[in-house]
This record gives sequence, structure tokens and C-alpha cells, in this order.
Amino acid sequence: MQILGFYITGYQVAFVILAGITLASAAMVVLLPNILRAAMFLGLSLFCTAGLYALMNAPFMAAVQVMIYVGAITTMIILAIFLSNRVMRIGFAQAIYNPLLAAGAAGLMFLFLFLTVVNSVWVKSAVAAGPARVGQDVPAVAQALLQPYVFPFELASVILLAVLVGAVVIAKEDVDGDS
Amino acid sequence: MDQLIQLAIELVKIVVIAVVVLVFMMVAVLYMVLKLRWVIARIQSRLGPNRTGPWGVLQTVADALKLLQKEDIIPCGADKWLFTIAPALVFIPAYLVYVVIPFGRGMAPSQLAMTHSLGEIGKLPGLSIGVMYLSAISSIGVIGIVVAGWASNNKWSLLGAFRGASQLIAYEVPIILAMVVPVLVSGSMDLSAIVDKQAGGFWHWNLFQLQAGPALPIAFLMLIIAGLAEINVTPFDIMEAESELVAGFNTEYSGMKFALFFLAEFAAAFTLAAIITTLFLGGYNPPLAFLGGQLSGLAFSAVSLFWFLAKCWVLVIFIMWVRSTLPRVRVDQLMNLAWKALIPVGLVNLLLAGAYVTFWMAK
Repeated sequence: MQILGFYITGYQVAFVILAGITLASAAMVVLLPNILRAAMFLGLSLFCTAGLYALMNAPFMAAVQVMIYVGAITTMIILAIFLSNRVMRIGFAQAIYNPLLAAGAAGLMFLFLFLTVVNSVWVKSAVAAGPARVGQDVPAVAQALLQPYVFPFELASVILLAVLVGAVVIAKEDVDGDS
Repeated sequence: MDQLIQLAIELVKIVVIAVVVLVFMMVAVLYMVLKLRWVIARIQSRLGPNRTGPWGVLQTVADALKLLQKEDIIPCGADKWLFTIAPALVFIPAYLVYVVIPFGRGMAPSQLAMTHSLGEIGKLPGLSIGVMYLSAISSIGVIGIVVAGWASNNKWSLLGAFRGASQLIAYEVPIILAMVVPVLVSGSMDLSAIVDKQAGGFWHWNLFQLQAGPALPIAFLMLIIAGLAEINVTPFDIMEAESELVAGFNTEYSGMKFALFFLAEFAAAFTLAAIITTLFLGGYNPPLAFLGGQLSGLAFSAVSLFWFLAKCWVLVIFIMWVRSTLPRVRVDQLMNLAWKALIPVGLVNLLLAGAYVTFWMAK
């Protein structure tokens, strides 16, 4: 519909709202002094990212995003904060010891993401179809994961397994050290 | 202008569906609380509530009014902001899962939102990721419980929250392992499609399908056991064990904030019944074809709504029966059950179902 001379679709309104909340809560994560509240805003930011996936007609990605990043990782971060009493008392602002290094890392990350976004071939049809009809993308994702991308997919699970074993080893050594 | 009117109609429709689902949830919970008291009283040879209104039917209404009037206490030393949003974080996911539940053919709220005329009911597919949506959304609730326990600034609450986190994270795994089996056999994550595959008599229900060996009945049992732990009812309610933790994560809550936790817990019990019905007990299909299976169109949708609610209600009563019969397990027993019994059995069971689908069903 026409508002103030601009042609605005419901899709754009939804995108602006979701992107706005994502960015605002991401900023809160960095700016809030209380690290637990920061973790809650991280969860909100990740949840809104799932909303953006849903808007791009990728409901499978959206569900995975909520299940893993909101349901599992945010919960783990919150539990880790509870378990480490010392972390509870300092915020991120005090935890950043070298602002130059942090800015450098953030800049590199931005450069990498920017180049990826610019160089990617974007499928316009998925967005043009709008969020009204749910795409039949689950079989497509499954085919992609188990045929052309099966090696990276399995490699990722091996890395996760290694991390898991590593965590157990580190935790175990701690117990031995006490006794 | 036409577009604006159309947009307004769409919005009004979605709001009406959301409100109807919310009202259904409230009424169901009010009646479930009353029924629970009657069932427990019956099992313990007591009378139960019988003074408020005829046969005591107004008892939960009175309880709800009491909760509404109570003072809203925020303990000093509590993190006010987190203390206030925690009940919402538990309640909202419990409400959101109702979006995909197929209450009748074409009557999942997600389908109704896309339906534009009465004739279209039952012709639209459900959400293609239905089962994943269920487990993804319900995994958010644990954040609310953990935050509620921490923000209360009370050691019982914090202990309850920690127990809750370990319990809910542990039992999510067997639940997903159990839900994947009917998904594999049906070849779809769309809840309506899974239900439609079970049409035509109770021997077509996933629970009684034995081609895959015992895979489906085992998954059914796992879903019931792990589900009872996930909704936190008595044999598994260690996160609010009264005799150990006062009331666990919600010790410091009162008034409407407490009511939200209470509402979410009972809504989750209904959701569990609905998921089991949908995945294993034929969903909205009548148990015998002549009990409504010959109907078509809107008439079938109406009959299917009845059968869905009837099956859910039987399961809800079953859950109440279990919770008023079995004693509470210990914390370590609870964790052992998940990690050492349910998850290994679930993995082997999944392998069995996968082998069946790959080697036999394809032919």
C-alpha cells in the first residue's frame, strides 16, 4: 500500500520490525552491564534472527535456529553464568581488556560477512513468493545435507564430538587436581 | 483501499483465532485443575471439592479469583526485571505450541489462519515443519524456569531452577528420539499429514503398527515417560518437590505471576496429550470408520474435532492417574532414567525404525 508516497508491503514492515529488534537487542548484549540480562538479550536477538529466516521462506532453518541457539545455547550460557560466581559481578564493559584488538576482530568479521553478502547469488523468488505459502523446502534441505554436503556435515559432527570429549577431559582433570 | 480492507480482515481473523485458542486453553486448564482434584480425591478415598457451586464445579473459578486479588510480591534483593518477565517466558512458549496442533481436519490454528472460506477447511497442508516447531518452541520454556529461579534470590528457587534445567535438557533428547520414529514412518513432519496417514480404523494408528517391529510402540512408551518428566508432574516433579524445596523455582511467586506458571504447567499437560494423540493414536480420526469416517467436508471436520478432544481427555485423565499414584523419584534416579535408559533405548529404536524405512518400506 501507499504510505507517504512509498510503496510498502507487509513483508517489508515485518522485515523492518524483526531486523530492528535483532540489531537493538544485539547492541544491548554489548552495552548492558549485567551479564545475565545481556544473555537474555542475546536470546532475543537469536530468536528474531529465526523470524528473519521464516520471513525468507526457510521455516526449517528458523526451527533449527530456535531449537539450537535459543533453546540450547542460550540456556547453556545462562547456566554457565550461574555456575561461575565471579563472572556474575563483572560486565562485558569491564571484561574487554584490549579495545583495539576487539575492534580489529570485529572489523575483520564485518569485512568477511560484507564480502560474503556482496558476492552471494541471492534467490529472489523465495522472497517474492512471500511468507503466505510455506515452501516445500524440508526435503530439499535433507537432499542437500545428505548428498553434496554430506562431508562437511559429517565433519561438523566429528568436530562437535571432539569438543564434547575435550570438555569431559578438562572437567575430569579439575577433579583430579583437587584430590 | 481494497488492499487495506483485506489486510484488516486478515489481521482481525488472526487475532480472533489467537483469542479463541487462548480462551480454549484457559477453560481447559480451569477444568483440568478441577478434574485433577476430583481424580486425586477419588484415588485417595476423599470427597474432594464439593462446596463451591453444584458438585464443587466453581472451585477453580474461586481459586482463579483469589489469585487475581492477591498481592503481587517482589522479594527484596530479587532482580525485578528478570523476576517479572520469567513467567511470561514460561507461558508464551506453552501457548505458542498450540499453533500447529491439529484439533480437527484442517483445524490447526496455523491452517485456519490461511483458510479464506469454509469450503477450504481441510484442504490446506499444515506447517511443513510441525514436529520441529513443537520441540523448538517448547525448548524455550526452560530459560524462563532457570531465570525465575535465579531472579527470586532464594536458595530453594535456585536449586529448583538448576534441577529444572538439568531435567528438561535431559528429557528433551528422548522426546525428540521418540517423536522422530512416527515422522520417519509417515515420511512427513507435517502433523496433519501424519494424522491423515493413520485414517480408517484404530488398527491403522501408529501405536498398533508392527511392520517396523516394536519400534512404534516403544517410541510411544518413551514419549509418555519422557513427556511426564518434561511437563514436570509428580513422579518426576523434582524441580518443585515440596518436601525438599518448598515449591522449587516458583517459591517466591504469588498472584498472577504464579498463576501464569500454573497455567503453563497445565497447558503443557494438555499439549503432551495432544502430541501423543496426534503422533500415535490417530489424531482426529475416529477409532472405527462408521463413527464418522464416512462423512466428508465440514461434517467430518466437526466430528474429527470431537474425536481429537475425546482422545486428549482420556490421556489427560491417564496423566492424572499416574501423578496421583506413583511416588516421586530421587534426583539421581531421574537423571539415570534419562541418560542410561531412555536415550540408549531411543537410539537403538531409531536405528530399527530407520532400517525398516530404508530396507522394507521403500519396496
